[in-house]
Amino acid sequence: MSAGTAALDRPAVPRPRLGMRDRFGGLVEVGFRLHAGLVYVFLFLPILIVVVFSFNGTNRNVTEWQGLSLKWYERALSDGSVQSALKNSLLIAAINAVLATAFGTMAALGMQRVRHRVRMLFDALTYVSVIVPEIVIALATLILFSLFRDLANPVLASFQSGADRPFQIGLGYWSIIAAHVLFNTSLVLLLVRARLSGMDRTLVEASYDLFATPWRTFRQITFPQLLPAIVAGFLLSFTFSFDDYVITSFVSGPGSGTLPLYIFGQTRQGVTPLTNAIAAMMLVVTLTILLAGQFFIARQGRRAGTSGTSPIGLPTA
Amino acid sequence: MLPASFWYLFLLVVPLALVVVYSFGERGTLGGYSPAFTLDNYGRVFDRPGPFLTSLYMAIAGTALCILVAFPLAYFIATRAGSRKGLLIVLLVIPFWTSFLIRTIAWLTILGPRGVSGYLSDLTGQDIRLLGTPLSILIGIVYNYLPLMVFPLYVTLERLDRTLLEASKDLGAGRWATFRQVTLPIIWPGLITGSILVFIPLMGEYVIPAILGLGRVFLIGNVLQLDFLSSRDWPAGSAKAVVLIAIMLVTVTFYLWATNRGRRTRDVSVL
Amino acid sequence: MDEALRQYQIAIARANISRRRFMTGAALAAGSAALAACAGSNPASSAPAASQASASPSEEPSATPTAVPSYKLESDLFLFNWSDYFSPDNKKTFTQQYHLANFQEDTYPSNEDMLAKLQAGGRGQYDIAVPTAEFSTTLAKLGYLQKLDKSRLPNLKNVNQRFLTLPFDPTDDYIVPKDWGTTGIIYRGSVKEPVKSWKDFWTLATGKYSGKTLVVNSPGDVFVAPLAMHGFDVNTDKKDELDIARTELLKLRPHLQSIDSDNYPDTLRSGDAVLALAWNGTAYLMQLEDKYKDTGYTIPTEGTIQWVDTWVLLAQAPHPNIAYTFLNWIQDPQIQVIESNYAGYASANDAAKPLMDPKFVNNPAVYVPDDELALLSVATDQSGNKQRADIWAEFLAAS
Repeated sequence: MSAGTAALDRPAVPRPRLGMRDRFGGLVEVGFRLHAGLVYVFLFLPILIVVVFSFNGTNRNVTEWQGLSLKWYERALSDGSVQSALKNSLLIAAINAVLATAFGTMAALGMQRVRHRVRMLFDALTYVSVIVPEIVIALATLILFSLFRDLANPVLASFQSGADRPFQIGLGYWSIIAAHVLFNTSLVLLLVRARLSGMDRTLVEASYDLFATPWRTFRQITFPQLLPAIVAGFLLSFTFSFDDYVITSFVSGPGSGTLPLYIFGQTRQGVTPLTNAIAAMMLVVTLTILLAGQFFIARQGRRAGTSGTSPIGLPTA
Repeated sequence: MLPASFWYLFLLVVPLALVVVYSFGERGTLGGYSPAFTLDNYGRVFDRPGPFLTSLYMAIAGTALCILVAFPLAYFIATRAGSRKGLLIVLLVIPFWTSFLIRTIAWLTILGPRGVSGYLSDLTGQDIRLLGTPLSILIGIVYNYLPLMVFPLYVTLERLDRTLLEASKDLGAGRWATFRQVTLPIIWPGLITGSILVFIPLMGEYVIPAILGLGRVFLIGNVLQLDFLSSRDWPAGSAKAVVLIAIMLVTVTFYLWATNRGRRTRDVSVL
Repeated sequence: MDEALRQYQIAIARANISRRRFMTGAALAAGSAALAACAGSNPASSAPAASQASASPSEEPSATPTAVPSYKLESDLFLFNWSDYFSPDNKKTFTQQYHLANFQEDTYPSNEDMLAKLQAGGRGQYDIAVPTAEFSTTLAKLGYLQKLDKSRLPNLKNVNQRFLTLPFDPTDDYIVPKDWGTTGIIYRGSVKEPVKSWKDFWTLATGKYSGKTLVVNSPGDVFVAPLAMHGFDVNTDKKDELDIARTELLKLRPHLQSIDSDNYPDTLRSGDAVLALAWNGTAYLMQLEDKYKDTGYTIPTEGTIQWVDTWVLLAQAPHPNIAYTFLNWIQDPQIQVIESNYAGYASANDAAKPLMDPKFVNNPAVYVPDDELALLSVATDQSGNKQRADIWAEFLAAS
């Protein structure tokens, strides 16, 4: 029997193979599912504790259970400083995420066109920004900002002679956003580059061969391919900014305090369930939005006859 | 390219230049910086190698553990989750929109005498304490650094074309060979990025070990905190920071060079 | 918890009686002054400016209003404080009484963070900060504080003399005392052995309660124990004395359950630790809870330090006039009672003491009995001492 006959024995259409269909195939599949499930349980277990303890009727200490109570929710909804902290956190994180994602993506794309030397320098700077310990960059940045203030304010004052309360630059939103954007830009840059390096260049070449403009190519070929990295970068940037403590504590000004500042400040006197209540409420809001989004898109997909896309626009499978 | 350059220049290069200048100075009589030029601070950097080594072990262990936990998860989401991909990804970060502190304190409750430790102690009759051990610290680390590893892995895994895998199978490759020659090269950038994003901050991490390690672990981050906040000896802290940054930069560069040696990327710009 | 609530309610009730009286008086005064001031106020400023003389901070209705020059009160006040360290009721009262548009309170978790922020450039942002005693000296030496004009602070006469002549500020140029306490030994009711001295603490910690003892993560407090134990000055910088302290600390280290300033109240409650070198406030709060009311607190016989938290006026304060008003207002006895009950610490204000619950005043975990006052020293800023820094790092790193 020659190889030729053996080849004819094969079916004309290749059998579709999903997953590893050898002896361990099924087991591996189950393994993956189990692992993923366990990880999510692991991730949300403390969250569950956080939510449960938000109903803790204790006066002070978060970890000792003293009966059910909604008082911390009341306090969360009425306490002005908590609300302002939350508002600041959301605002700063959102602006920072937008800026960092934009800058990081542009930088990742731009880096391909520059000379090797420049690229290496930029690379080094990117890694350095991740390497620098937070406390060091926080302190140094604050010093820089205050030097800037000390130089700029007298100049500003001279333009405003006669005003009762002259406009002065102080620390505030801008200083926090500026500092956050730094490390988040690097984050996005690294993520997009990771995605970029594995990208199929032939599609781009084909696009150019077909006389598409660079912008068109970007919009229709590159951008959709990069989208997961961009979205991931956006999410992570938002998260890091929202949750950051060290840098924010140094460069914030009066009134621009964020939620982590508020919470960490409480450690000396004992963290109260107030923060649990806030966290629980935020969770409810985000989960609701997420599930609602998922539901609507799935419904839309069903109506259109496709299996739908995920809420962040990723093509399925 | 331009905005990022501007940012880097002003908010990274200049502050770092400041740090370098400080590292040659002296502590002011009341703390802070006093202009001087001395190499004393650098001389004292390695007076105590302990914290550096502890940080190193923690960072390596933490990174390895993160890879182990993150990879199957990223693979699952990228290839098996179908329409739920986005949902799962976002679900991954939602726990991080609660405060870092209350998450970690929640772990204190879970692992502490009112949680697992207490339960195990009652069960076995012995005084079992999970807090203050390397285990509790590693749990805290994996918990807080997981997305940093999952996301880079995910964005590269998502590119993995199923047909390539099938083709590999059809050509008779075993599972391991397929992994090594098809999957790994594609996800390599993600693996590298993830490792760097986890390892480097882990070297400077000290809050999680302080809480879950009950303050009994002493790391570089602690040293820097003591220098900058407690003794307010900015030059000393700056010198240590400079040395730390230099060491890590060299390590990262070497790592990247060694692992990218065989690879050549096509020079076509995607813009 | 109920005990604290009850005390709080008593204090509020007492405060309300006289508060209502002065509130109406002050409101009338402020109202008429505002009308008068409106005519002459700068049209550019957006908030109504109340003249200082009419909104006189002297709260006791019988006191004669001090003749002070008329200062224009700003409408904002920026306070840089520890978290939960200023009664929200008092904040509301002050805001309403002085028509503040914004009483901004930002928080910091430790003196070091506050100082680092100020030293690295946070100056000119806040009006008032709340450093612990030894830090106020450093702040003063660095030039970050304004010397206080005592003529604007008549209520200082209510403050116990002891706090106005503290070693770190003997002429009281910079501080308005807030509250005070001590560093000592906290022990659970289950500890039946005598815990009267640092020596006892060491013996028990390295012996029976090994693995169940903790110390706070604060070198300024922890160093006190071995130094006092050997009869040395707690602020010493003599090399051999510090060496002895080092030996003692390293002897203690392997037996410690944790070195932690933040979660230790919880650790004490759960029983993971039953002995602690810590601050009195925690002991007091535990005593308020039924389950832990047998918690003991000792001021060791060899001596210890008292800590004093202080209000200070920052240099380059953007709103100095209203800040002065506040600093004076806060030492009104009734206001102090509310403060004391809110924070759970002893007030420095003598005129407030008779207005407080006797159980609170006589609790050694709050007010130190007079006969033990001699045991208390005041710590000075040791951040520049390299030997101490090295010992502390070694202590933390050891296992």
